[in-house]
Amino acid sequence: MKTFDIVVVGGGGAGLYAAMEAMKTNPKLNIAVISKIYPNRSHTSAAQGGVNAALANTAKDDTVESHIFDTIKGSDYLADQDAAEVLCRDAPGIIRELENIGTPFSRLDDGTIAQRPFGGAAQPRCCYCADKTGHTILQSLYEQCLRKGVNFYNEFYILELSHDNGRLKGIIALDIKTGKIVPFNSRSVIFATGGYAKMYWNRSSNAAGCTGDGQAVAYRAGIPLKDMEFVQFHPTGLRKSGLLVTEGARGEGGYLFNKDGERFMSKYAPNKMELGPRDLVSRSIETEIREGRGYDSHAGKYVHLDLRHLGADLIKTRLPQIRELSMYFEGVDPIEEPIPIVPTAHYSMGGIDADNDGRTIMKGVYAAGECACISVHGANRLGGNSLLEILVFGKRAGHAAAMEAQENDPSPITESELQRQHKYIRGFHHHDKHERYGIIREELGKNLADNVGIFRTKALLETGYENVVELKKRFKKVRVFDTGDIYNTNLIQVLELQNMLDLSQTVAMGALLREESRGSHTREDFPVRDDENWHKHSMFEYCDDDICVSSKAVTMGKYELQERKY
Amino acid sequence: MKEVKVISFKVFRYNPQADAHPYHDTFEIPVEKGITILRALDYIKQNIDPRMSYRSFCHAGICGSCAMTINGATKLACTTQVWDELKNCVEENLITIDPIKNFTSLKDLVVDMDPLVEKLEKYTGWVESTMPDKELGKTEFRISPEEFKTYDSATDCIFCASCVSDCPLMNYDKDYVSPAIILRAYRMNMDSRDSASEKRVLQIADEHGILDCRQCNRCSFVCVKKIPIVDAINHLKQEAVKQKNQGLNMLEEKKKISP
Ligand SMILES: Cc1cc2nc3c(=O)[nH]c(=O)nc-3n(C[C@H](O)[C@H](O)[C@H](O)COP(=O)(O)OP(=O)(O)OC[C@H]3O[C@@H](n4cnc5c(N)ncnc54)[C@H](O)[C@@H]3O)c2cc1C
Repeated sequence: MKTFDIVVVGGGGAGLYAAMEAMKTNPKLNIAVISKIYPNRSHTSAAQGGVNAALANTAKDDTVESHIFDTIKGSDYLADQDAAEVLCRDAPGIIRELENIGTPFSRLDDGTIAQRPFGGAAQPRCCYCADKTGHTILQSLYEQCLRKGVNFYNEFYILELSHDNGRLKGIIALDIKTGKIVPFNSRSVIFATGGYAKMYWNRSSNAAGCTGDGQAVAYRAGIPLKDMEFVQFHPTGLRKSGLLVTEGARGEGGYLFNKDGERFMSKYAPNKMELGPRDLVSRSIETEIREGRGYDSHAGKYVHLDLRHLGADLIKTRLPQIRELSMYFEGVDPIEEPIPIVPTAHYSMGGIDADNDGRTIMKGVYAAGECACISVHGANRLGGNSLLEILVFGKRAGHAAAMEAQENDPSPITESELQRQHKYIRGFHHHDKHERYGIIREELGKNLADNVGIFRTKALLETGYENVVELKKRFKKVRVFDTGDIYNTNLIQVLELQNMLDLSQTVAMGALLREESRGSHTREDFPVRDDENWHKHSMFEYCDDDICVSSKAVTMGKYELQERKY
Repeated sequence: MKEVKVISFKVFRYNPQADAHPYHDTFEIPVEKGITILRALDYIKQNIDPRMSYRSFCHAGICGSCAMTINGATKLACTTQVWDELKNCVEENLITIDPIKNFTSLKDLVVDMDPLVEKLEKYTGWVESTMPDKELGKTEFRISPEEFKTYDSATDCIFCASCVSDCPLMNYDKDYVSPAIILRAYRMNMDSRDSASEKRVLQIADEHGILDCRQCNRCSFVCVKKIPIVDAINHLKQEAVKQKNQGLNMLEEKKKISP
């Protein structure tokens, strides 16, 4: 069996940057990228808005310092200040590098990269390519990886991190096209598998596969997760699918109405109205719905985002994407009807605990991108900072792994490990199994949205946690009906569900324990931030199917704790 | 006011481990207004037949996974409304769903995409920057908004392969470079940061190349991102003809010199 120097798990922005940088650092290394979908289809492509870097092209007086401060303040002071500093200092260089290798950024008249304002930033520092920023960045990285001859294993699904009492051996994956279980012996492994916000299922803006697989695999192998309770909600998701209606709709003057025809934001933000900050608007919509002033439907409760008063011309010229989206996915033309919307789970701040070069506690194992928690976003990430994170820390992890891979001499993955996986998978076909994954998945999403959602209380969270435990029990009876080997998506969806269940238990547990409100985490029974008791990271370790919880200090720097006000 | 119709879906099925030949299965399900073809397939998979396989990921028209032949035309399942499709049905309320054309089915609606990805490599589907590696990240190239405009629309391509599915040339020459790859070549060649345009033109002008295209315009017509692919083809075709002629002249020259 050949041994790889680096196996990158995940072909999104973080994974591809890591692979590209590792090839650049040492072209002789034997590097593989495994990805459950073709890398160019990764969820990075969904990012429309842009990526932050203090290039000072649009605002000449912008500085890296200002970016650092915005990031720390935005995080509600839970970000590690050294990590936030790395993020913002590396930013201009990394955006220029992306530009240099061909990413098509939108331009200013002088030919430099254009930048626009974005939420929570003091200056217009968000670099973009029209409304397809993530898509174009992902394509550029994928193309450069092809150019450099990276070995891609497309449609391979990671099952397990193989190690011997904490000594890395590699990973075990399922070849989706053939059903074979394949060992990847490797000196190092970089997790770059993206976020876990899809556990909220129909109440999530994420792709179907943003199921936190890497986090769950690392967690089960004994690597701690951090700050899992922090999940960001976006105020305007489509009712049926949770898909995102971008802020542009409200920016152009859209109104929010409840079922009594009341423009309810007047109660919550009389001045800013619909243009209040994301978390405030989300909480306001949620309050309306909870107090019975939302509309009801087969696909859940919702309120209206009304654009009709803006007129057909403006909608067609300035908001064509949003119009298309609501016609495609709700069957509603906003020129004629209001759009049914509801807040939607959007981004996962928590993830695999890693240092500023992506190192985890297991030697040779790294994490980068949304699946990692470095932590630069703390309790709340700023728009435009997550694309930046995946690039900066993807690159740093790729470099570190390339420099350190030779230090490790992994022992081979054994046949019995493969057999165990084989047996485990076959077990799902057993005839005494009767539960359907689709039902558990929907119940999980609903449970999380109802009990571990935007507003949290002890009672709700206890229910939410118990429901997860109950669903985990039922999962043991889930049946995979497709017994074939080739492209068995029935099996993949069941395996993804298992990962969501394991992680959602940590999300609910973390939310229950954290008795304060900070960033995205709102406890109605503890409405203020409590720095004395809770200015710390939550840590989750896997102990025999149970969770061991501990905490870790936040790395401070020159910015003192302050109240977060906008 | 919930509007619901009962609709049948006639879906292509093939599992090479079990079936000697492909066949079609028909599923009858209730569909509310506003539901996409992909969500209808999800409903069938979740409630009727979990064995049915198809690719899907973002559900938002950006990842390019779910191109299918719906009522005979190639479309993204996730951006196609079931109710809109009813007017394209041959038999009332019966929607047919097949894999994209010009690819081999691995299982049901899932096709083997590797031949197309291999062409991306064969035809230099990346920018070869004029900037040396060690200079990267130090300064920006200056690119005019006008230059950006020349390839803006081409960078919308999500590689869903709808154009490949409907290209009549692909039908009898699987090795044909394909519209998606020509579009990439165009996008790279218009970029002033790139240094490989001549190489690329030579590659696509070779056998199974761009000169075989008869400009039927199908690719632009089916493109789910409405990219005018045929304009890119026209542009590169002229380049290719120019280079080919130059090449021929050079050959002639050579013949003259070496008796
Ligand atoms: C709608 C939307 C809009 C957004 N807009 C912005 C924005 O404007 N600006 C911004 O900064 N951020 C934005 N974000 C956030 C940002 O896009 C993501 O945080 C980021 O793209 C994540 O990148 P990644 O590389 O970590 O993961 P991903 O791009 O999700 O890639 C994950 C990779 O891991 C692979 N993988 C996963 N599981 C497995 C497995 N089991 N086995 C093998 N491979 C696996 C996948 O195949 C994929 O290749 C947005 C997010 C959403 C949902």
